[in-house]
Amino acid sequence: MSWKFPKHRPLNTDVMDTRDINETLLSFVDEASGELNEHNFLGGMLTDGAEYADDAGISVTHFHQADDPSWVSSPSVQNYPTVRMEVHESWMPLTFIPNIGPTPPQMEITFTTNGGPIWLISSFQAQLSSPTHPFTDAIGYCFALSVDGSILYESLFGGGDSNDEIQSLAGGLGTTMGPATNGMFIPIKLEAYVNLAPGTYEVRVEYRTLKSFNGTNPGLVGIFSRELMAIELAR
Amino acid sequence: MADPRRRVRVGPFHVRVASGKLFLPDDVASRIENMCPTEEGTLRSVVGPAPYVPIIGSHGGAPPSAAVPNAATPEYGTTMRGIFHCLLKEGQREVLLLHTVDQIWTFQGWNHRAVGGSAWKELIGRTELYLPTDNRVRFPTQFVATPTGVVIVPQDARAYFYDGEVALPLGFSERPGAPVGLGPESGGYAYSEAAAGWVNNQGYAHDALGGMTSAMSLEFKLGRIGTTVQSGGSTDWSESLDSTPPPGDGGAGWLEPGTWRYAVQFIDQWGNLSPLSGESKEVRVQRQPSYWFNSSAGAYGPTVVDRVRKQFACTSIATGPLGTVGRILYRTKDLINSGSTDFYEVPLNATESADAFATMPDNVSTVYPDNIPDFWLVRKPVRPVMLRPFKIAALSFGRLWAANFDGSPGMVRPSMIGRWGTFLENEEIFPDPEGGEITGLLTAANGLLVFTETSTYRIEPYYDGEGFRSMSVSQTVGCDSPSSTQTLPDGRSIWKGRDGFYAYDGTAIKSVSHDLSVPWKRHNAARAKQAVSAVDPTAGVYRCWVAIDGGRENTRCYEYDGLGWRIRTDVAASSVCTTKDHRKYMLAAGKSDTNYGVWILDHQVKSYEPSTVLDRAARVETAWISAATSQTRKTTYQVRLWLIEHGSSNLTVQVQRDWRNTVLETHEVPKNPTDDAPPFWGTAVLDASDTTWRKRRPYWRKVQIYVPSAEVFKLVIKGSGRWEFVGFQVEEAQHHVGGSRTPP
Repeated sequence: MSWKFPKHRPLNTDVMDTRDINETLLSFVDEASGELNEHNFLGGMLTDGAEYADDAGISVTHFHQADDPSWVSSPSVQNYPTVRMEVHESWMPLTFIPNIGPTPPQMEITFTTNGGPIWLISSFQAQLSSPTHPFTDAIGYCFALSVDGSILYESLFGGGDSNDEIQSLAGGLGTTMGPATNGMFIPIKLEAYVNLAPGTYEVRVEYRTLKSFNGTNPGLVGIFSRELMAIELAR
Repeated sequence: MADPRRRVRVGPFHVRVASGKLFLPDDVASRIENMCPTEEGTLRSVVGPAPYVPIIGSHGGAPPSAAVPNAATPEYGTTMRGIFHCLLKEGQREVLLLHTVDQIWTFQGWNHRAVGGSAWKELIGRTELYLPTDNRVRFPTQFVATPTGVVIVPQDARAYFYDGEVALPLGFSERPGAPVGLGPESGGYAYSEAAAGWVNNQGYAHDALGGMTSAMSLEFKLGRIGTTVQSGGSTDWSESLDSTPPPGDGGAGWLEPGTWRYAVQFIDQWGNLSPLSGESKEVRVQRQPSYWFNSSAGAYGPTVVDRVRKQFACTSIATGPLGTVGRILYRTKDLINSGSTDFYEVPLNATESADAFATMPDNVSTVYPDNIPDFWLVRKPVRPVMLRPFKIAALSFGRLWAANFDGSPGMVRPSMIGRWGTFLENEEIFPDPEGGEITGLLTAANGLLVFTETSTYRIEPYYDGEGFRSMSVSQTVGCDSPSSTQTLPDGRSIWKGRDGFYAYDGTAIKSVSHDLSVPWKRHNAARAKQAVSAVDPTAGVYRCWVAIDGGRENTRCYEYDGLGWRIRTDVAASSVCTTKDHRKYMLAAGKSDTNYGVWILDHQVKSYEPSTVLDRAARVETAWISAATSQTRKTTYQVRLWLIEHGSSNLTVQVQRDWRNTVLETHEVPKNPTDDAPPFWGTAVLDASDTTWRKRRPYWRKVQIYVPSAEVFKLVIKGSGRWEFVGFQVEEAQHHVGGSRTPP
């Protein structure tokens, strides 16, 4: 709706009619009981909304930022981030235990929503090979978001492109490298739009590893600077 | 005294529509003005209008107007060009747009304050793009509601798109500049045990050949571009390069000579695509063995063929105009080896992502490193045309149909489905083989009606669903005003042609305005194209405003209820619309009294009641009664008016006779049954014993007239304020009855 106008304008000398009064009042009562819209509320009347632009929507953000431990520097661990994921060929939460290093904070959010479109975003950095031994213990990884354990493939990061498999200097197939995402200290962003029914949900970041062409799959991945958020989009 | 027993009562006649014909049935009026049908089946006098945005205490309650409009005050312009209402975002965003002089405003009710705020915000003004300021005769501004926003089509200007938050020019009227492709160049063809001076080894030369200057860091892995063959014979070497083979030749493989070209395309935030740019110059690679070199280790020799493939780059990529959110990069496959010269979309990356609507999801960067192999190129580009200004648009078959383009007034183009500003080449249609100017588009029962001034065509999909075809519906009936086209509540399409209104029921076009032939003579034909219309779903009527008597403004409204016509003069409407929400208000942009503004029809408010509103006459003028038997003179003694009680003031009844427009008698008739008067506002006493709420009642009122020995006679019933007409009945005596003719 929007602005309403009285249906009848009674003038002096006009006949008094109950219908005129009822129809005029009803047109406003009807609106107030469920058809009010943005044109009916004075801009700035909500003090909490004073920081928003005029046309801003209303959103609720569930945010999680992991407090990752400092890096460890010793010859044995070769400057890895403390949070390290092991080889796993099926989808596993990033915090799957056992991991090497201390138990990290969970990379997950549990929230309750009234339903509607939700924007899920996660960003983190991954060390997929060691600075000192770049080609000996890295491996290809895929990352994705999941809702209640269901992988959201629209958020998949890292594919099976064989051209990504690092090969030895003189040629030949790779020794230990796998396809999919690879590289050192790469920033990764995962995102997905989902429409959720009302309820409570658990959102996670998950990963899996892919074997190299020569069948080997050793390696670890270090994860740091982790963030995960879910934004409920509503007006 | 005449014998009352000889008198004949004729009627009652429930006149509801009027006709300009001379000989009419008695139950058809010769003129009905400012009377509107009610839900109860009566005619009630028109009230209002009321200003949509009231300014209490100023200009009688209406915002002021001036030659130069000002949305912030607000101050309307004295030229109104268009008004439009719709709901966007699944009904959650209510949009009201107004085009006044050279500005397009949007309604923002949340900012309306008595002081310090205005319910209007200037959305598009002269700073963005030129909009005409003169008063030349043009079509009114056209608006088309789409599922994602409003297409605004000002006349003699570019079209805009407004999604409820942002308004920008619709589509692209420019072609991106051609990008520049970068690839390797050859420093020489002679092998020497050095990295320099080698084929494909200079310029933008990047591959995975260790030891060469072109070698990338291994972290970047392999180049993917280039056609390779697995060969390795030493003859290949000597036949291809002008030197003897290097030691250890075995040539694991060869890069074949190849060329590639690039092109780029803009994409805006609503998915509209620009035309493709011109093609870049060729990126070229020459024949090259996959051969690596490690001078420090003294190692050299053939290597896997994957390492000789290249990475390219594309640079000087044009950035698009405001609203562009990405660029799609296109590349050919290897023009020498692939057998294809087509362009293909370069995918954003190796993986899917939410940003994958374009190769470059930004409008800033100008360089794109390209390592996409030919076999990933699968999607061919669509080929939009540059969007020229057009005058008319409609939504049909999920596409925006635009017509009457600058330079091609007879052309109609469909947009891509859902991309309202993207029109593909070779899809244009010229419905009129003579190229006549398109003057209207209307989505009808079985297709899209396309009008010229003198012909009508229908566009419908081919039976196989691919493409469209145009067929002639009429070569004599057309439409002269695009804003006169509407769909009646009964499903028929209606529009104004040169000589009247026409309706189309899906099978045939029929004239529906024979009764307007006489009033039609007063039309200002020079202003015919500015006619505007809307359908009032509450009253179930079609209303069309036209200019008459040489005037420049649309001061007369014809109202059609599916059966006949009436006239309204409450506003001079330059544009009208009906709100698409449940309110079903009819809004007019135009002039009431001397005030320009936005008016809500059929509503009256205390803050705006100038004398032209309060004292406006509504009238019912009967036909010449008994015209069919005018050869027999009759004497009329009495008329009974059937009315609904509405006030304490009076109506006026005038009598004319024998085809002459001369008033013989004038009578005053109360607007209520005075012998049982209802309570009135202003005089009723609260809680008094004689003050009761009750519904307005119908009542009969006798009017003693005397029209002796007349061939025909006519009644003119008129009054200001609110009154309601049901019908009338005539009591007459035939001339031959005889007896005294003393007045009663």
